Amino acid sequence: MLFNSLAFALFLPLVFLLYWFVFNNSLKWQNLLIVVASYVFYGWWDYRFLILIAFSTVVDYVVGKQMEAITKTTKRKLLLGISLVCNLGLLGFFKYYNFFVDTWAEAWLLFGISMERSTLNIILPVGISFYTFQTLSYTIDVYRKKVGATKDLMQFAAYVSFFPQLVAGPIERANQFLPQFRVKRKFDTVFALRGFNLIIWGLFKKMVVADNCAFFVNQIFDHPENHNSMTLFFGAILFGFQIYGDFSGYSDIAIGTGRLFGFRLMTNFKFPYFSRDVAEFWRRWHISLSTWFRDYLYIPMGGSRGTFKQKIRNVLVVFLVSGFWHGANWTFALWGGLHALFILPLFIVKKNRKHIISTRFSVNQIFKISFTFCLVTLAWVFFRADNIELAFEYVMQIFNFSGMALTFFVKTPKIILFSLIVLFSSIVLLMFEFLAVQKNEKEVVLSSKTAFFIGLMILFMGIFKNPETFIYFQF
Amino acid sequence: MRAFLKHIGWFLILLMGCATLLSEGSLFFLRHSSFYKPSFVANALKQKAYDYIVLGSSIGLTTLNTKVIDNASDLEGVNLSMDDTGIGTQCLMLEHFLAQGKSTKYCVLSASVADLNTKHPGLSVNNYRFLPYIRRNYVSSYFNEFKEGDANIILWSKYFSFAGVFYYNLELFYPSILSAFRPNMKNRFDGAGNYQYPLENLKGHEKLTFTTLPINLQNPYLERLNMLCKENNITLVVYIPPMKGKNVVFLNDNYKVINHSAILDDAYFFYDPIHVNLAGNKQVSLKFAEDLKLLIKGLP
Repeated sequence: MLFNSLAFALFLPLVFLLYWFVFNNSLKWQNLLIVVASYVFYGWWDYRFLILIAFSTVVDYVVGKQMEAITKTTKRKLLLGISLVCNLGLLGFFKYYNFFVDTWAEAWLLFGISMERSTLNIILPVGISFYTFQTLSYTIDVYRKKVGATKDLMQFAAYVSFFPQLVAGPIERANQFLPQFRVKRKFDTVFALRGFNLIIWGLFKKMVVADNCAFFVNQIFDHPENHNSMTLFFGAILFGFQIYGDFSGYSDIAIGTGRLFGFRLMTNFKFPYFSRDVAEFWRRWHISLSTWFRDYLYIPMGGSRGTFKQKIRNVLVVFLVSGFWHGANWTFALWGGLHALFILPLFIVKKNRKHIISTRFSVNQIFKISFTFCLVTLAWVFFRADNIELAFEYVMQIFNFSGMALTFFVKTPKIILFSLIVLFSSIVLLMFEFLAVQKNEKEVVLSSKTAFFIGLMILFMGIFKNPETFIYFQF
Repeated sequence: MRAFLKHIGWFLILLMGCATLLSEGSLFFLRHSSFYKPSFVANALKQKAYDYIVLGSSIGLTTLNTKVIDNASDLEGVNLSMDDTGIGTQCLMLEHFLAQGKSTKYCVLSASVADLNTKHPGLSVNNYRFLPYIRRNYVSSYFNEFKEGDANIILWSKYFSFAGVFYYNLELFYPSILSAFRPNMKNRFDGAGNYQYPLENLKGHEKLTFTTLPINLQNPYLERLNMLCKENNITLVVYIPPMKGKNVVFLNDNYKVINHSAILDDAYFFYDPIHVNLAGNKQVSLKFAEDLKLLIKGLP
């Protein structure tokens, strides 16, 4: 079920009313309703893959319980291993099997040996990377004794499958999110209203900014050979806005929906295009994933401790794995590699730890923000392109300065209209974010009046006909 | 909770109220404009009686130039073709034309070969252009015949005008703003409803060789159009426009046909395989005027 669909517009109020008016007296029933609603939400797309979520849930629930009951380290390690094998095994099979078969065969081709490829016709279950990482964080934290194992299967099932963030995050942590299923939720009007306004803001980002950008991005990236340098340059920028509007819009809707049910989900995006360097970008972009990798991969590998070589290796590994997490394609690995390359100089001169974002915008700051945006945009080309060759051709074509005219964006009256909507909505987006950064807010906070006008913008500028699916569903 | 529900309730009522007002306004301005063909028929055609009208898709729109035909034949016609539409829409257009109290002696249908051939026609892409008239019975009953989601959205607009305006916001809302300021503005057609493709992508003269393309006139809307014409004393003429390198032959001959599929033997006259360009448009329109005159005189 898509957040920007009529089905969800009917589903959400129905679940909300049942949750607060029918099952409000019993925590167990509320958790059960969340599980049922989440399975309906997910099953709306493809009910066959519910079995995978149920399997991961049961495995990690049992593993968690057993792990807490056992004190012997070797047995605990074995249990953790079972959870890792089960979860990563499913993820690996559904997401990477064909990729590795192809890569293996292509590697042998380099030596002139042709191998038969036995790839399978595998459908990638929506959101598998997200819920797998969420459930893994639980077993790892139980193993590390950072969180106690839950005795209540329904609580745990609700934690794994909570529908607002099930298919595209934020990837929640057991120690912060699971306890919320243990306590009775009290309805907080102000909190819920902020959630409602955040849903509107998320829909604006998705339906107005991202989907209108997609109109141009799809045409430009599908046939880069038909476009001049300037169009390709703007195509890359528009993809930056598309993916940001798409993904952060999803997170905002998820967080807002969570609030309607009394849940506090973690912030996933904190105005990333106002970052002054790439390290800061990663503290503001897909925060739930970058902190996951920090806590469960980077730090266990040694983090910033050890020899210089080890430190560099750790950064490289984290970014490459993060790239691969997004999809089984070398383009994603290269995208991750590029970010590692951008971040390493900062790491070497130890400037990667400047945490806090300045609210002042001096000329120097604006230059840094623009430069960072250009680097990130360059990397987006690799993220979006179908394969590495196409990505390099795209970048080369930008830099061969084959033409500076922007006629593509004014070709017909309809295209001019799209261009104006994209321009206007992007300015609105940046303006609200700029104000939020200046106020040091974690998210854009809309007043009711502003939400009303944003709502009208969604209705009259949003894409309702053949909307784009959320980009991160494929991950 | 009560405060929350009250707030959300008011918010949604105001939002939808405002959206309804804007949508109704949008459809009002479109109804009183000449931007799309249905409104053009209702507002821009001052004449009551025509000798002929051209109905069709982009093929009809760009092949037959009624100004050229009228000059060459002393007849008076108008082109009511709309791009990306099927014979079902042409039926609806004729009903709409007649509903304005207008009449014609001949109805020339210039549809694509694929459309003439199909047994199962679907909803056309540009049917939303009839949305400002959705509350008229003949329009809503036409959309009622389809099962597609888009038809439902257009039908809902009968009661909730915002449904169609949101869904087709680019195609309806923004043109309506233009129409409010310039009600005579037309969407890519002239005062007689014609549009020509430019002389673009020309590769010089190139002699064409022809292959035969057999077709069956079996689209169910064709018979419906024929019936509608008979009820209103109109003669239906099926027109086959030039096709690059194709000679259309008929497997059935239930209708009066002017077949121009193979009259242009030079690639110079084509914009693409099924559309002629400005030069082709003139040639074909002149030939059509001759053939129409013969047909009116009852000559073969």
